[in-house]
Amino acid sequence: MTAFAQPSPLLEARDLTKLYGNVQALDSASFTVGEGITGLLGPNGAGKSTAIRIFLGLTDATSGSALVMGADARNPEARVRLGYMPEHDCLPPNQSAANFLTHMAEVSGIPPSRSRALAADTLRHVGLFEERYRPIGGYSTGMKQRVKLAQALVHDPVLILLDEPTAGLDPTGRTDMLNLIRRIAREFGISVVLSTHLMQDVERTCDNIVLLDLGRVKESADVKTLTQETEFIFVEVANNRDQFMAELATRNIQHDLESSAISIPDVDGPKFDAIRDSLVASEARLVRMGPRQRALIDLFRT
Amino acid sequence: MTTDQQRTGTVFDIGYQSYEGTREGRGLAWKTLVIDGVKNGMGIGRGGWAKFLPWLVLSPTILTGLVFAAIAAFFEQLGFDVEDTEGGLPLDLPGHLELTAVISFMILIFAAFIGPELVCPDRRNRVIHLYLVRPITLFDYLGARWCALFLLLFAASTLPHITYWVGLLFGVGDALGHAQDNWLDIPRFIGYSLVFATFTTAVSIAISSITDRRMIATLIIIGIMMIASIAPGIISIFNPSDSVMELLNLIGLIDLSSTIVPSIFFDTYSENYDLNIAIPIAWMVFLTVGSIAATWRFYQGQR
Repeated sequence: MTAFAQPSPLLEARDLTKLYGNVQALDSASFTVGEGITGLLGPNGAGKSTAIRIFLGLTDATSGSALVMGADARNPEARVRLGYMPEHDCLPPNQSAANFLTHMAEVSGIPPSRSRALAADTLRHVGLFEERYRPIGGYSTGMKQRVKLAQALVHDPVLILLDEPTAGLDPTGRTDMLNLIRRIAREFGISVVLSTHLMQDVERTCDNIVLLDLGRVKESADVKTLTQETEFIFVEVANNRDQFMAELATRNIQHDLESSAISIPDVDGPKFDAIRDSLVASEARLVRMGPRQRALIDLFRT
Repeated sequence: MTTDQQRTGTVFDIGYQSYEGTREGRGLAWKTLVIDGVKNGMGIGRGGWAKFLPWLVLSPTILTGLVFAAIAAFFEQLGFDVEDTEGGLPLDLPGHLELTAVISFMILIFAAFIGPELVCPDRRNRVIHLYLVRPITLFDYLGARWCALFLLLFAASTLPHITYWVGLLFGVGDALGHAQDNWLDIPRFIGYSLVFATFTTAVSIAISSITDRRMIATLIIIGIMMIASIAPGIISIFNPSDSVMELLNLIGLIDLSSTIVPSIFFDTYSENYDLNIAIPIAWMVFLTVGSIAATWRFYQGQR
């Protein structure tokens, strides 16, 4: 029997470095993951998968340390309350979801007397209760993703690591999966690390992000801070855009054309009046005007 | 009488319930993986074809023990003294050593089918990635799979002997006398079965580590056994000396495990072989330990 205290933070990387031969996958990366949904972001080769593999105890760091709920990630006990959903297929096609989850619960230390009930409950929560006795091989891609998620949840973890959970899903399936992930965090109280390169998934789901680039931590903050409103104003007009821009220039208002909209920096009271006057003078029909929010994609550009 | 109102019920979704019960350690994981391995090996809980192959190969071994016992009982009924073959009686029934020679080949074939069944699908379907992120180690996973195959092969090796020994007990007139005279056979066939199952498990799992396709692994195991068995025969064309030939015979895995090693346990080695007894023992240990080390190294590289 394992008594497991739940310290904070849930994950902690301290100067984590990983070398594969001459290739540096992680370069003194230090970050923490707390409660809620955290997006682990980065382009291909940023070190996301390596970091996850180290936290899961699948590979050792070259230097530095990785702690899972205060315990060394190399210690199997650290994984007692940790769940993992890989990106790739990893399910036995000839087993039913109920049997597979029951088996996985027992391997995680849940007594056999409780594992079957937990498996059924977990499958109900991911929406596969009716299908639980069918062989997994006959499931659709979306259903398989749900079984993968269910096996990560079946032993009631404190934290689950999800690797590209929406990969291969159609738009509806993707929305459903992201809703489910939000529900896991909000209703079930299970924290989530979402490793993905899809910015929209992170913006729609995550509370915090850790941005990795070339093995280093480029940014680590909460999503609201990173996507807060900027001092830019976006103006979109339906016609006479060139005349409107000319009127802005006449009034010495700095502006840039970004795709179909015009962005104007450092807008204060008098500038708003000048923008209004320019719109009237150019007879441009206003479609939209508002503060511009930074998108997470901008983080990659900086 | 039940009214419509009584029949009406409401299902309440009590939502997610956190598990507050005990969490057992790696011991439960081992037990679960071993039981799962035994079930997978014998096709329990799976389709008909999955059950058919292991039983097709295993049944003849148990039947052989039964047939041996039945023959002995039959001749006992006819008045022959099946216990005493020293006095030149017309009946010379085979003993446990001969039974070993007959069933060993079948058990090797059984291992060629079951070994890959236990480890190849986990790698092919990549379920192994899900095992290794649970609170267990690679050693736990491999050890449990190894134990599952060992248990199956040990059972396959001992059951025919037990059937034969018990069958003779009921078949001969003097059961107590038979038990007193032949009790030593029990530790002998158990000891041999332990060594044979260990060796066969190690080789089967090691070869199954090469590929994630079951049938290919099975064919490689059978192929290696066959080639290793005919190799000494081919080399004998060049008329090597008897001592060299005895050494070469050790290459033949079937001969090694079904004839040479059993003769050590059944105390007939010195009658049949001139080679120092330490050599086949060392060779068997080398093959077993080497196979285990190769398996470990392969899986370490695969993580």
